[in-house]
Amino acid sequence: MSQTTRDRLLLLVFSLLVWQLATGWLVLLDANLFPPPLKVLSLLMEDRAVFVKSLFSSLNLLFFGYSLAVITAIPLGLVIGANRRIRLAIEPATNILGPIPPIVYIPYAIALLPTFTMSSIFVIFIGAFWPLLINTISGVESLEKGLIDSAKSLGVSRKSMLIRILLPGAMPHIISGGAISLVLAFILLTAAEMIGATSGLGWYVKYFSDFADYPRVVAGIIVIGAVVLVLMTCYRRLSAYLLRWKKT
Amino acid sequence: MPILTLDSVSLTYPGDEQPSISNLSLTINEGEFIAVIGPSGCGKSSTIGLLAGLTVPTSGKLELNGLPIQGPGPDRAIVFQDYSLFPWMTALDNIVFALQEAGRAKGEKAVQQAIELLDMVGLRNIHRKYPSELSGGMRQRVAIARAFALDAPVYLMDEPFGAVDARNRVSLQELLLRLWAGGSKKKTIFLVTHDIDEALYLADRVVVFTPGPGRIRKIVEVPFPRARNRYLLIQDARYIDLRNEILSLIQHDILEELQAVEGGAGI
Repeated sequence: MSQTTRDRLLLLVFSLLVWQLATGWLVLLDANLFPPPLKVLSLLMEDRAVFVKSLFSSLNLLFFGYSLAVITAIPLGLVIGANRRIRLAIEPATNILGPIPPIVYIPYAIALLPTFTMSSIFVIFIGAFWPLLINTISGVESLEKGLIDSAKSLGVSRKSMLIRILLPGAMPHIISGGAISLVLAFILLTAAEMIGATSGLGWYVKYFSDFADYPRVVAGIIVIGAVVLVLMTCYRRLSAYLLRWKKT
Repeated sequence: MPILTLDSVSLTYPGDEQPSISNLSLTINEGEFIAVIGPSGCGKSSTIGLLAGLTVPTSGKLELNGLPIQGPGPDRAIVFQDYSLFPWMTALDNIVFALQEAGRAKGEKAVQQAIELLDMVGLRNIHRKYPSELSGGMRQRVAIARAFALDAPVYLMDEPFGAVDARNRVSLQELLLRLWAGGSKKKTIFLVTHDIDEALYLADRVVVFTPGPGRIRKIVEVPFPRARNRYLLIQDARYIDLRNEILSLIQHDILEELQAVEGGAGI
């Protein structure tokens, strides 16, 4: 075991011990607002069926919202980035629409679309769309002119130019935009679930806080943290694979 | 037989006051090896861009085989000093991609042909390596292999060995001569360089450019028969004369410029 791993484990055990000592054994804090870790752990076990169901419900929304953003924003960004005229034409629109915090779309989306599922997918899509689009465009723009010339001189087809040259060339920017999108998508997912859902991780936290069941709220928060951690780790793995050609 | 003709070509980039190229006329024959030399800013790279069809002249005509050049195409293979290879494709994929896009070969045949080409340029074990994992010399070797994979009649090279160390430079020059002379079709090479010895060793004719605006100062015939011997060449009196002539043509402009600025002090 490396020194760093040992340090981290020690720190974790120490924090859990202090937390358990302060809340469970010495009861220095309000037991309902500050549940001891052993209590939270037992709740994680007790509610595991609910958590699994919530997780699937949440990941389902996230998957559709995020995928929709990926399959629209990246092709659009490539075309816009490659075409100066379109780029200049839509620039004001991206400048106005891009910075709107997507959370404000939630009430409108719920009113606009027939089901909660559709409105949350829509909101997640909007949130993930802009960072991906803007980064794809800037990725194409920042591509070395020499590489484009090199491709043109080979007489590449329009399709190959987009898929084999512009897409991989813009990939470093797309990857960083996609990370922002993923974080935003998760924030919007949980926010939407807290407002209108009947299942999901955000719903779990909101539901039990309405009953002042804070030990379960804390358990829910921990699960959400773990899910984000796993998602981001997978994303990093994927990025490393897609950018394996870059000098490390 | 002329293959490339430039007829009173001028080029002014948008936003520039002075033209980059002014009234340039040159005829290049099929199978000829032309070297272009001159100080920076003399329009030699701009000429490559024009011949490649990547830029359009402000006035004048450019023709390939008697037909106007209207855009880039696989009948003119290009090697740049940098940025020739796509960094996200392996050495092999770079060549396979070029073969497929130019319609030279497809699928398994393209792969086979690419492997043969890499073997031919002495790169056997780097098929799966990305350009970032190769040395500068190896990268240019792959770039040249890719250009010749297209089997184009015309090769446009913009300082292809500019960023390569002296030892690799020599072996790349030999490779270039081998590829130029080999094969069934006659190949025409238009090589931009800033190295007088490289120009004299490789070319049939050396075109000397001068800047402000870019134009041809002189076209020097290189009289040495092939195959040339690098070591005997540099001792040849005619070689030394040619070298000095080109050097003074290039330096003339720099001296004039310096004299205008410093009143000729110390020169």
